[in-house]
Amino acid sequence: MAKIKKEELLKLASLSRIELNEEELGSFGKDIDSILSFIKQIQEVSGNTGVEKRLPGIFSMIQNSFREDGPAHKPGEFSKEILAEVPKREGDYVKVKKIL
Amino acid sequence: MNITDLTIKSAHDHLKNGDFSVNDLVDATLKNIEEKNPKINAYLEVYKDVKGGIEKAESLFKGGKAHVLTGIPLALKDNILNKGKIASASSKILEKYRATYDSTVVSKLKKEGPIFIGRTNMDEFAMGSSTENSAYGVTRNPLDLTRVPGGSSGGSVAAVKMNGALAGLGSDTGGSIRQPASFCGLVGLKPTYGAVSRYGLIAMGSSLDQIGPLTKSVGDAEILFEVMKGKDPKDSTTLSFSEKKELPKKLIIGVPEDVLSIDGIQPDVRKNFEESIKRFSKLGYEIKNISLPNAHYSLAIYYVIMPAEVSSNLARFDGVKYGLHENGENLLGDYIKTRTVGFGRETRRRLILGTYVLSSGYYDSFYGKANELRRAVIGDFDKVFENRQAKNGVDIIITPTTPDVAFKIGEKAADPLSMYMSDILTAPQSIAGLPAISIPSGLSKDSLPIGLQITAPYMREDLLFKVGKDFLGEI
Repeated sequence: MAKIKKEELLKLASLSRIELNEEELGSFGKDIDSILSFIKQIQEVSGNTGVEKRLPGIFSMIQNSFREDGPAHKPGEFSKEILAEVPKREGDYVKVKKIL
Repeated sequence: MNITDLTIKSAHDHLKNGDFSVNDLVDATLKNIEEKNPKINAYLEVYKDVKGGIEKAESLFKGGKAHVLTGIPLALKDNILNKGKIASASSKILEKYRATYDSTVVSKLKKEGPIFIGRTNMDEFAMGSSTENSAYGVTRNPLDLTRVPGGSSGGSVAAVKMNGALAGLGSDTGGSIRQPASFCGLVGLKPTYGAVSRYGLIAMGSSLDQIGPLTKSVGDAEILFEVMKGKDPKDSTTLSFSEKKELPKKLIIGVPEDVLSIDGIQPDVRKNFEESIKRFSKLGYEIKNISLPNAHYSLAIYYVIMPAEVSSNLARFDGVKYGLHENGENLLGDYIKTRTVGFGRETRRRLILGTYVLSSGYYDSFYGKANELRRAVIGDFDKVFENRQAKNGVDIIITPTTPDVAFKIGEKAADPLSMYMSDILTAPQSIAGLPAISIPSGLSKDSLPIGLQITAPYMREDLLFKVGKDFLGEI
């Protein structure tokens, strides 16, 4: 298997919304190569319908859980605790940088 | 007061008889923590408000309304939400995050009045097999401070082993309850996928994660499981248990030779496993060699599916809604800076790997294939459990829990793949969603614990408890 290229690693990091420094670009490349060479054994098998069909066993017994439409709780019941965890806020609003 | 030999069950009897009070029990536990935690680092935080819980528990005993868990000191893994308390998943990105609600397991347990002592160290977001990947330092194995306790639930296991709790809660995605239980000589149960609600568990691999108990006896694991299990409308993957099925008179144990021929199983572990087989024969069990021809692919399947799920689950950490926030040049810069500073090395490694296997050029050849093979592994287990009378049919399966005993701190830290290999015998059950328990089965030449893993069909935790108790001679 071809070794993972530096540009490829930078692209994956950017898609993962993280940055890698120079040292990590080297060591992560080496680690990912060795992990990929281990997991590529799964390509020995034929067939490839895994993602279209539902998994069998216990996974086929799981069903969606629905509830009636309607208010699940009183308005504002949890706002105080949840807003207390927001790192940047203005009053009761979550504050983010300008998007446009 | 020495609590080394106390189980949940025996402590409850003593509390009921008035041999000691809940206060005495908690005091002794806290003293052990004060003495041992600075070296072992099992607890990241010991809760300051245990007193209220003690009073409530004492009054339940006085009123004759005590449950077997009332007043029992428990350790909580740092990825299980306990309202108002920090739950950091041992990550910098959640360092100050306070749970805004109780996880279902915590709210079910709280009804019985145990004492949650504190939150325990783990590999960041449960990614690891040694508890070395925590942002808050390594946890040491109480049996040998130069060795790892296993992971990722290493803190909860070490907490119980150093007598800083009578039992603990962990989570298991590819072996994170069973492997550390094996490394520290405890009992660890990974329930059937869907048996215990994950509502309020910080997600890692959603098609794999399960919460389970870490205890000193099989009976104690059963006590905690019975309280925690069951359908939860807040977790659509949960299932209800039907009435208990009758147990066959003579149970058949399967020994999967193709799994045991995997490279790297150490001679001490193999020898101990042979002794375990003999012990089961003496106890009247029938032993059968069976075949699980695809099980050896499980760890490779796991290292495709798990990182794929990690990369989607961890997308929620953006520095906007909760947790760490680092300032960047714009909104995208905020995301990138927050995640780069907040996530540790192993977490970032798995994010990259997950993004890789899900990217358009590799999706079919990795993620598609892994799911195809996952179906084959599930099929292997289904076949042996389907008809116990068939040539390849059994009631339960046994293997060692891990290929080797607890390794030295730092020994595998530089080579992620060698670290991953310690889950090679626990990954098949995770991939198939089957229940499995690790119980202590003996010691190596160096007097380190070895674990035996017992696997049962879906929703048959009752079989694990019966067989585990038989093996350990528990009544």
